[in-house]
Amino acid sequence: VNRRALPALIVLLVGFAALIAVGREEPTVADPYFTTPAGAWMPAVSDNPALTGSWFCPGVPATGEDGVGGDVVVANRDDEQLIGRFTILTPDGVGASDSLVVEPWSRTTIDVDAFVTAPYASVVVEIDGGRGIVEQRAFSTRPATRWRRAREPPPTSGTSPTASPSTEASRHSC
Amino acid sequence: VLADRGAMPFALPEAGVLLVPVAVGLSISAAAALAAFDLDVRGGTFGWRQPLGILSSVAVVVGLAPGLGALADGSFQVPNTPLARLLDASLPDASSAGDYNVLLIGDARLLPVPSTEYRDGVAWAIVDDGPLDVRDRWMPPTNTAAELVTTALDEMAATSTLRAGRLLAPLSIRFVVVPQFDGVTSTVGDPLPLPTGLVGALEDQLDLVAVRPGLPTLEAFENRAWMPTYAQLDEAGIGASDAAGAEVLVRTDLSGSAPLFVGADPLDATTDDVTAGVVHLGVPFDERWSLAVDGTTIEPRRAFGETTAFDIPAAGVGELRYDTSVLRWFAVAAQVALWLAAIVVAARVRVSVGRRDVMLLEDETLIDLTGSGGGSSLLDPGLPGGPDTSADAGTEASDDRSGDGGDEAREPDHEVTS
Repeated sequence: VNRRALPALIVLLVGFAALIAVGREEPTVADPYFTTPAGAWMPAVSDNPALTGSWFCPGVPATGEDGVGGDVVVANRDDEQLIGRFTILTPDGVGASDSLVVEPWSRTTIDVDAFVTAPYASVVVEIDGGRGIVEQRAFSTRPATRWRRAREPPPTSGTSPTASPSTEASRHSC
Repeated sequence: VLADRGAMPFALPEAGVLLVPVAVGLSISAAAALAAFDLDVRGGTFGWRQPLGILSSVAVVVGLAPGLGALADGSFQVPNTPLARLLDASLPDASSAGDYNVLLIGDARLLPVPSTEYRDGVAWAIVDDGPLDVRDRWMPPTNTAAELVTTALDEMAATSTLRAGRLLAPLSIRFVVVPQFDGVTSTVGDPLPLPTGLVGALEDQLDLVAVRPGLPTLEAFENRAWMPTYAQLDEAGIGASDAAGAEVLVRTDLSGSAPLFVGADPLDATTDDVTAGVVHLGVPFDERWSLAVDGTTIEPRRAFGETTAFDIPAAGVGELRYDTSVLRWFAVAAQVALWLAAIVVAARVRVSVGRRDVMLLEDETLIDLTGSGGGSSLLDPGLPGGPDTSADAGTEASDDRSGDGGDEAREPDHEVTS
């Protein structure tokens, strides 16, 4: 190797060494991320802004018998009219669907067994803008057919558990 | 290597494009090594050059072996059922329900077509209901309809709505697919992780229903709120199509739209019966779409802020067509011309323009040495005894002295003799 070719040879060798060194490093690639998983779903009311709010009411009796039934209450605690839709689900599928409007500072009640007849019917309420509060009520005024122990909860009526803060903006349980 | 690792401060072309200059460099290096062995090494005295030359020649041959091995069956270790083929087999063809699109979302390395980066390693792409071919490898042009997809993904990621399917409906997205394995980048033994929270967010959506039976290589969801690519809107859709924004879309169920122009090829005009109302195209707004109903052309308008629609005043037979811009044909012609020029240059084809000039000058007599012209044969009018030094004679002599004319004048003799 003559003197003039020596610098070129050195550059070549250094380049190869650098290429190998860089190539051996494992690039650090972060795992792709879309959103934080919802995790355990707790009944909650949220004041976070949302495009829509969806409330899932697990079910009320809808047999149509006297003294047994249930309804869903949609409350508007805002100055603006509340617009939404509700869907009643039975074991056979979608039983009924309709829109709803709740005036400011008032509430609307959905009488479930007026729309469907089923042992139990679930209701999904969707509210534009994610505002409002939804709760289901089940009731039975018929006398009990058996004796209950004192610590057993009475089956005559029930509401959802106490609401707690949540970061979920659109999904709620009533 | 540096660009592949994102270590460069600027964007470089795709690795596949950069392979071309790399291949040229390797070819020149191999040719130089073999030429040097032939010219310098073989005739010289014995030293370190001889074994190194032989080693270089052997290395060139050995270096060809992996390439030849990979070329043998042409599969390049791609699985027998690639993701693109699996996708085609899993989803239904466009039927009487209408044409549709598919939203692919996930790690960009797993998507079988060029994708748009969403964020944090998540990318998306939209393909139609036909089989994937080489045209799907072309990157689609950026358009405003991408905003609809981005908005839907944003709202899903923020858990702001459970009706993201409705947000995707104007783009006629019937299926949302999340690839998990492609058998190359992500395998069962060494899988790439799915984007955190993506599948869960899709499962939460009220309009998206998981496709069953599922495939182990991808997660697929059907959008029950979809509408066909070419559709006649129902009353709810007509009212909403004039407006724009997610707030309007999320409260509008477009699934009642009726399919039109089923199986239409966007490159050809197609006809179908349309009724009074609104015909919607699940494509980004483009003024080059036109719909003629019984011969009356209807101008397109924006629908849902991003897509294309036609207001139909009365029922009739509609002819839908897309008029390609003339500029595109010019661009194609220019590209063809450039390719031809490149081929001509590469092939070293000589266009003998000068030869025709030579033939024109062939019969001209510039110098008459026979003396029959009556004057001196000397060309320099300035020399004693030279010809007349008038302007014409001077000009003729000056032109001749320039050399070009003389060379061209001599060339015919050369051509004839050769």
